Amino acid sequence: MISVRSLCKRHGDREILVGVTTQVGKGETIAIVGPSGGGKSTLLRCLNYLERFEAGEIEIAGVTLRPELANSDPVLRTLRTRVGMVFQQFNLFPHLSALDNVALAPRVVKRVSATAAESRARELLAQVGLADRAAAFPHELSGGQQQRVAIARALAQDPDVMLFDEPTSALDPEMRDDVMEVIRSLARGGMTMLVVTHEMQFAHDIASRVWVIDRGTIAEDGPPTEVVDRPQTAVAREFFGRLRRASP
Amino acid sequence: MNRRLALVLGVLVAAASCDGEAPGHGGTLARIRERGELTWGGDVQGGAPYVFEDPEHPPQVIGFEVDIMAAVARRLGVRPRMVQYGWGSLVPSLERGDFDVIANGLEATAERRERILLSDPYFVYAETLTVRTDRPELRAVFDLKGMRVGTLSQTYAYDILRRLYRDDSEAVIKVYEGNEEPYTDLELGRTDAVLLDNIIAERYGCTPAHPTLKCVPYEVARGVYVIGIRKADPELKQAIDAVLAAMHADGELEAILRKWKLWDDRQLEDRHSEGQVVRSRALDGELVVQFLFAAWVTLKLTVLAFLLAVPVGAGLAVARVYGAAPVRGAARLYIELFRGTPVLLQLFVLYYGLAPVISLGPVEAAVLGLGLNYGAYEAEVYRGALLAIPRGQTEAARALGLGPVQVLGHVLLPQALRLALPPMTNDFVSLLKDSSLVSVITVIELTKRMTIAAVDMRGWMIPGLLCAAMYLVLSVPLSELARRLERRLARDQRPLTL
Repeated sequence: MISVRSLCKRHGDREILVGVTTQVGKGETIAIVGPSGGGKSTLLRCLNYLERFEAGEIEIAGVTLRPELANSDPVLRTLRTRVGMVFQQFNLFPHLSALDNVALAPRVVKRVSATAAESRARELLAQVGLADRAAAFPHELSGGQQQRVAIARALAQDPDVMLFDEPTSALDPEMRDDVMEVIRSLARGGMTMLVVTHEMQFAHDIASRVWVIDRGTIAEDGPPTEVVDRPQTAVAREFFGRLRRASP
Repeated sequence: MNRRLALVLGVLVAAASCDGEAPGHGGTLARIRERGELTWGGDVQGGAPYVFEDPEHPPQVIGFEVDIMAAVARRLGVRPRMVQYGWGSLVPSLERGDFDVIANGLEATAERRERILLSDPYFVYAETLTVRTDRPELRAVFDLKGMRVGTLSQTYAYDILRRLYRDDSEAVIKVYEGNEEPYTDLELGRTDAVLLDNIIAERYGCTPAHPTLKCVPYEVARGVYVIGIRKADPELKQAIDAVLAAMHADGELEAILRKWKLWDDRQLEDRHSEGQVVRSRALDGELVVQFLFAAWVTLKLTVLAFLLAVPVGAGLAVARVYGAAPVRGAARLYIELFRGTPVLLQLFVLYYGLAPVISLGPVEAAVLGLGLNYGAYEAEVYRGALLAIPRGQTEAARALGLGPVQVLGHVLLPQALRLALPPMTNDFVSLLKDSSLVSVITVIELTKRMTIAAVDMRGWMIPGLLCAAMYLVLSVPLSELARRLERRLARDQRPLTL
């Protein structure tokens, strides 16, 4: 489903990603962890080309990404209908109701009729437990509810891959569980997912693989029973150790 | 008492006290002698040969009236000092006491004689009709029914035309502020004739510079230029009349007029002309209708200009924020050019400057000029609004597959509109008032109607109040409309608290 080859990304003379090469199979759920500033979010954002890169190649959901694609390149439109993205800050459109937030992209990008887009949007809102808040504007929703609308919005394009960029970091602890539950059920449904997260429990219980990213490379890559329970590298040991001390 | 009523009364009282004669300015002659200086009001925009800046030594002001006033002051034993004022406001400024006398092509009209003292004449002129050579059938003022005639505002020529043709249905009278423009428009076919003093007609109209224009050789009427003096200063009038009589007798006046090539046989004739008193106009239904029509012109200009400014501004803002470097540069150049130069200048360029290439009608030029100018301001408002939208909005929209145009249309512009609405309302109300500038290209809108009515009625109070009331009637509902729209668009906003 995803194949990354020698991906390099820099900001000025600072190297963010240093030749990342990896593969993800269909239906896998990858938890991406690691110290902040290590390149986790940048890698995720490169996967749907919100972030450009200097060298390397990405194949994702049947689309090939290379450096120097134009913003208006039709390949990007295809990419983004096949890869959904959920942001740390939700980024819902404040001038649209929850329903319109979800229905907008199918209507505008895929030219689905308004009624079809709306009924599909209602299904998705029901799927994330918000059937009764369709008419609400984002400011009328709690953070957890906003993030679930954002997930429904990403799902509305029927993507093959879902990218989550710290989806629960901006939420109070009591709201995280609702959002995590939605992501968990997506995993069970066989969605291919990459989730940048600090949630140990999630990485341990749901992920099929865990990547520890440090200084622009994947330092460790394996099933959670290996990476989380018996980390091999110093950086992973230290990272998980600190997380365990923080949440006993 | 109701506060609003109190406010209106306050304005009325203030206006009334400004409207009457300025009291307590008698004894000017004594003060002139005491100071050793005679100050006189004039306007260098009147141009040659009256009072104008010397083309060879620019800041220095010359003209036949400069010479006459120098002689008058010398004979009174004092120094002359010219004071620059807009020609249209010379009489009220004299009444306010800003200077001692007026000496600048002031015609002895009956209205002026009622309001201020007029000296004996120092020049006799003939009202002269100028037409295009391809219109030989126009030989007299009586041939102008249904025509468009140009003249200057607040002149004897205007009075003559208005007495012959009561309103625009009988003849359209276009009033100008400068000497050159009436003849430019006549040459371009925007008017059919110009009626003005022979001094102006011979120097600006039927000259080699305008080969298609000719001056009709029959005099329409004669008039005289006089020195204007405050009502409270009869002793000053006596002194000036004595000086002028002496200058006439000993040939100094003739010498000055000959120097400026203004001497002709008319100067030898009886120079006493009292003129006929025209009844001043009262507030009547017709005046209200004229004001309503002028208000409609103002509203039309404003709305059309704003409808042009909004898309121009939106395009420029998008170009400046998202365009490639050359597009960005071009948009920035446009904005700096239109924002950095006076809209008055832009209107002149559009109406007169471009006339040889494309002859726009006055209303078209006005809408275009105001619209293009305000577009530059709107552009910066929209740019600020676009920049205020968080980056995450664009990223979320792009991540959903929306193309650049869709991101703009569905996500950014609707949010920008909400942010831009309060400053846009500001600009609209400001445009409503700036539209008064288009009177320089002969459009008679609300403010111009007021100044015309103020001359006809010999007072500013009633036309001023009427004019202010109409501007408010136009602007207040508009602000209300904007407020409602803003509230509707703010549905998506959490109420603000501190």
